[in-house]
Amino acid sequence: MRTFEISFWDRDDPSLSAMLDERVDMLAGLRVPNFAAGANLKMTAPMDELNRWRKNRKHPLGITASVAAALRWALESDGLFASLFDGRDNLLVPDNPSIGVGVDAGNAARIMVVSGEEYSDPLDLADKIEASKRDIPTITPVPFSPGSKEKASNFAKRKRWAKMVKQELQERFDYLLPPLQKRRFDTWASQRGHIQLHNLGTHGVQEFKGLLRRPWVSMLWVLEKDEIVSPGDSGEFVSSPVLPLILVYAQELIPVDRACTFLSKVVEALTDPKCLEDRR
Amino acid sequence: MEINAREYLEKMRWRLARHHFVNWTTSVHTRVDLDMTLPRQFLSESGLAEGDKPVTLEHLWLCAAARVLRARPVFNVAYDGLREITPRDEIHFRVSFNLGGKLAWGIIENADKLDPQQMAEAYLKATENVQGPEHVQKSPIMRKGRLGRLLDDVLATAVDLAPQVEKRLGLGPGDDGGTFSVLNAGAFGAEDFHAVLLRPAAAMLVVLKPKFVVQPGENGPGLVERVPMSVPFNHNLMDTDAAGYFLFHMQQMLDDPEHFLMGSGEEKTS
Amino acid sequence: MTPLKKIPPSIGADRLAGWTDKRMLYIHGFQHYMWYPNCCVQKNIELTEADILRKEMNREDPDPGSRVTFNHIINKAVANALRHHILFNSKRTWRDTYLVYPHIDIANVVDVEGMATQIVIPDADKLTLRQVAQLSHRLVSTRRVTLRHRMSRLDNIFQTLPLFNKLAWAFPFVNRVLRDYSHKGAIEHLESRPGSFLVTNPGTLGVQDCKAMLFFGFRMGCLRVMAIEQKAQIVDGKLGFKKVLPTGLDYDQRICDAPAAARLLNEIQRNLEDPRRYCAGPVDEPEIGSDEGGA
Repeated sequence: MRTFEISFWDRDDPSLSAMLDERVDMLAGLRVPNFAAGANLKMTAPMDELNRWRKNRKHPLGITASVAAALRWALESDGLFASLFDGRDNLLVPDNPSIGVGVDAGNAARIMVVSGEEYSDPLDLADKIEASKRDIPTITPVPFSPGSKEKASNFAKRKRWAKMVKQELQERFDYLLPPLQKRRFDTWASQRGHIQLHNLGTHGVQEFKGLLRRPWVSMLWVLEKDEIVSPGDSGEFVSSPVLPLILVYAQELIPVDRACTFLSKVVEALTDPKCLEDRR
Repeated sequence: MEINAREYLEKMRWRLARHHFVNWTTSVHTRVDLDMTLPRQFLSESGLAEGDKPVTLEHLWLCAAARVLRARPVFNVAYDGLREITPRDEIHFRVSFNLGGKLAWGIIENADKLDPQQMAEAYLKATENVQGPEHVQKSPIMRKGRLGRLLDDVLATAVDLAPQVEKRLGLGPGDDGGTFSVLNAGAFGAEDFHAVLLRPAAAMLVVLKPKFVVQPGENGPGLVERVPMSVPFNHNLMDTDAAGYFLFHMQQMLDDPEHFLMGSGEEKTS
Repeated sequence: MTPLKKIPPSIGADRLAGWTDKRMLYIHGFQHYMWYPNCCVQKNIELTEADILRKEMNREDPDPGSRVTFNHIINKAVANALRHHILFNSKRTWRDTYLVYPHIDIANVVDVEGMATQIVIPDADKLTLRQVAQLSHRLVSTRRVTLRHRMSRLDNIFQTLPLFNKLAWAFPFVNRVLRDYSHKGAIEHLESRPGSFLVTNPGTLGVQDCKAMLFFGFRMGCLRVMAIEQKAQIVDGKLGFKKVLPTGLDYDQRICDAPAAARLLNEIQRNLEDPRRYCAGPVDEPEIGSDEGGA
């Protein structure tokens, strides 16, 4: 039997609370009104051509960078998926959306934002993401300290609670003060991107169901590659790799046909990645 | 593609109102991949697929869903989200169409009384009178302007704290039309789709893109055609198993269309 | 998909009116104010080794009361994995406070006469696989009796006391207020040990995918087990099939992101794919309360 790596934390452990504190800041407003009705749409892209293309390039690309290029390409045909939306009256559709790429940093994902203004070309964007891979380890992970038996003080708890309530209220009612809302949208876009891309394939995840936090309108999740067995031309069974993609989008704003067209566009670019070069 | 945000929001206004959080939070779903071997065999043997108005697999599963609804009325009710259930005697399908790549919704009335041939005809007829995805039959209250929104928000908070006051405040979920929605997301290429179900619907049916799966068989491995279907349902009213039984019941009917789906099928729901 | 031989009938039109009374406790549990943002990661876990172990253990002791099923191995695997991922064995009390349960109590969803109910296997990580199986069999048969009794008692109360029916909505609401706003209430709730992590197996019905809902807010995770599938694969140019178990982990988005949940799922997979090493052996006592600062 294995030895214990971590023992149980005590209730109200301050170090655990400190670790979660940062999450609470990030996720403040995790009440239902701040969520969009997130529908999950899945499609798979064949990988044969994609694998050849990304490995034969002068600067080979990883899966995440390739999908980011395809996503950027698809956004040119429908920018609605990279817009920010307050849930009712304010829809901001940027000309050059920034893409946030999820990076696993231990207990919480960190986001690497690639500016849409700077990298409007899909392949430039992909190269930038690929080149930034080496910077990723320098992103500070959330400290994960051992537990303690001390209890958090009531004052600390109340302070955190007040901070969170303030953030929640601000997010929910900032439509009353448009400059405040604009500031929130701008901060959101610069820190998290207009649309996010996460690759869960590195963790072996084969299926995912996500939800959508406003003001995002959609997110793209890449899962672990799958092998599909089908009869080949000579009658023998052959196996071919496919890449499953999940688009989580706001069902309230986008009908399913539009979401399918958008995701098909991403799949199209991954099926025949040369179209990304032809564009140039 | 240029998007005029203001115009788009105006077009989607009532759809947005329908998706108020109280209407969708209890939506979950169950998926089962239905085997299409026997229904396809039935179509080719019966000659129904070659008539003037050919019957397709879609018409068969619509017939099956309608008859299952008659045996399982809880899927066809209108539900207020709390204690009030309004049973519906009629089964009117709100069916999705792919018209030139665009989604449209039409109504097929009394779907449970139609056999596959009649369903094919009703399906064709329903395409003549369709509505876009932004259409809402009965919209909930959504006031204009910032102050209107503030008032809506305050009322929503009151309902959030005490759902019982919703009716007294004159608020309601609205309605999309029909008694039961069938969305064929597979027609748009969706391989899996987790739709969000809105009150007052108790459930809906989502059909996905057919797939061919290699499976072991008595005469060696072979390809089997499967159509994944999912039933998003209101968790207040039922659990995962009930939605699973709905789909298994559909499979049972599709496996023997001659017995279950022909005629008006009054006594043949189980 | 394994088609069911007999599909249970649904509730008839005549019983629809009283249906919400029967589900009253669920309805208030699933209200939007109980909604918690949850996502799900899922993967296919190979079952070959677990199958061999299960058959071997059942040959050793064929008594139906201690028969080992996949469910029991899954419970044990989850309990073991949770020892290393204690955040998933916690609950939220105040809006900003997490409490990590001091025990790993695995709750299982059981279908009794069309109503989903739960049994709880306390300290599942400290029990052997055989003990988990025995306890689970005992609890399921007991619950069948007690739930029937409880439902008929509730029916009687509704019929004899209409006022109770009218006010019944308030009870879960009061619980919610106590839980969210009173620390004492939260601690009491915690000590009632309602099961710290949920395992549900709709796969036994043949369901191939579903979405769970983390309700009541006292659990941060739920493991969903779907129907076992025969997945085709080409090995050395030859077609073969392997038994896989699609397993999904629903987790509370507030506590972590997908990678952390995927790590827990990977650990559950490690336990399940090598059950002889991780699940079948004797149990080590974790050193709770040591003075090492919890490290």
